[in-house]
Amino acid sequence: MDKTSNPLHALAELLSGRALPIVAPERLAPSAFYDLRYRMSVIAAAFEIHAKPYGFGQRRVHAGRLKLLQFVACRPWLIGMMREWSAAQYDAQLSIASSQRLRRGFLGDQMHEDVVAFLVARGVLAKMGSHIVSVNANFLTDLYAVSLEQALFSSERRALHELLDVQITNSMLEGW
Amino acid sequence: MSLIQEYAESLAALAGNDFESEVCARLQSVILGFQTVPAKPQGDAGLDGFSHDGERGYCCYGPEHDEFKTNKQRENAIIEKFKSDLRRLCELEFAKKKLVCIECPEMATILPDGRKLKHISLLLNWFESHRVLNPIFTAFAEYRVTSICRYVDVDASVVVLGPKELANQYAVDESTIIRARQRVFARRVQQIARTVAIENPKDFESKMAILREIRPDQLAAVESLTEQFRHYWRMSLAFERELDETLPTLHRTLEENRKRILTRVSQLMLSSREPWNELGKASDIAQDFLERDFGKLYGSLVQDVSSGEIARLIGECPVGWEKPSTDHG
Repeated sequence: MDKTSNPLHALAELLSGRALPIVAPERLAPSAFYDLRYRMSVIAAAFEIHAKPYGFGQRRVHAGRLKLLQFVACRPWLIGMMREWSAAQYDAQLSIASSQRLRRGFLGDQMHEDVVAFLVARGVLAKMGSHIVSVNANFLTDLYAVSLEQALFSSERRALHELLDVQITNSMLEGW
Repeated sequence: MSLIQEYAESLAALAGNDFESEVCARLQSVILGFQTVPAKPQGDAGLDGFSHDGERGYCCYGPEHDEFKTNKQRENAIIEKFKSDLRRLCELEFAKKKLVCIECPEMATILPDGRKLKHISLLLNWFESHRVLNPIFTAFAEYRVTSICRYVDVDASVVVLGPKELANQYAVDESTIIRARQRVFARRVQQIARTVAIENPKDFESKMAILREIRPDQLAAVESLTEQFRHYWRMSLAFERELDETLPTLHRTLEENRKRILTRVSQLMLSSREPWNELGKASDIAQDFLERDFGKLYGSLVQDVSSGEIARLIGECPVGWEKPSTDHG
């Protein structure tokens, strides 16, 4: 960008000698997507709303399903796209218009894998074949209860409830 | 998902010039001697490209996806567009609802001397209805009879191809897919930037209010700057959102780069006797950082996103300004 069309040069010229700069690097707001507690809360909510009872006092959910559910819960504006993708599974005419972007997105969510690995190491979850099982169910339940009590992450919870009505097939979990 | 299917979907997602550019790039990579036809200086005479020494012609049409409310309207638009292209190739136009021959001087400047089109491909970003076929073929048969056929062979054939047919026609490799993804990505970012809301612009607005107080003599310039910053800020938000939804790994890279940009800009501003001069260089600094990770994939967007990242630093508070205190005591 040349100097004349660069708005920062224009701003610098307007401010030069007439204003004092304020630089506060600590005020850069990091994205919530990399906040461990936020991601754990979303996983706890996904578990509470979507996991099925398994064994004695435990619950389990398909690992791919959990990954997709929490991905959409963090981005509730994708629910419409989810519905279209789900509907397109049985309609060849729709398949061309359904989203491939969402498929790539949730499959590449490495942060989720890292959070699950942390929870497994922490003894909260366990990996069992293609499923994830809650070992310390109280931890997730308590975390979910806190978010309910303090009215935190309501849009994520709403999205997870809406997703109960969306059929998620195995081929979707493989990204098809 | 197969590469062919993914490429077909990418083609279907493109519209307008993006679709035409992608189709031409694709044909150029697989057909030796494929020649694109720029619309300048006097229009492309209905032809977007040709090959085989002027014997095969290509016309593209990629209507915007939300341009039509019903498939019927979309079908009609496709029919009318291609009939219009074919009339121009056949040097025909309607006069009082009757086809008459005209002279199209531009065609003579496009095709090699003595060559006529023997086969014309009509390329579409949406081909989900066979109802476009009969009207186009019937009209073309009529045009060939009426035309003096200076540039179209009297026995020329025509074929309609949609994204699936185009994707299936030649082998699809990784570079084709990457090119298509880049186009779809850039288009999406520009679309999102038009509608994305800046969530909390209060701090930004108050900084601009201070700027107006400081420079009451430059109100028009400040207004223009404010608009430019908002535009770039939205581009940056749209870029971030699109990365987050489709390529979370790269989103993380962007997040790390944002911290590096802020650190570098802060260091320069705090250590300089002329901090505002350093701010003027901030978008170049951002561009240097972002080019490394995003230049190859999203080169066309990096400049706007770089300016957007700095606008965002101003808008989200790390970088700001205040009026000098008048109290010297």
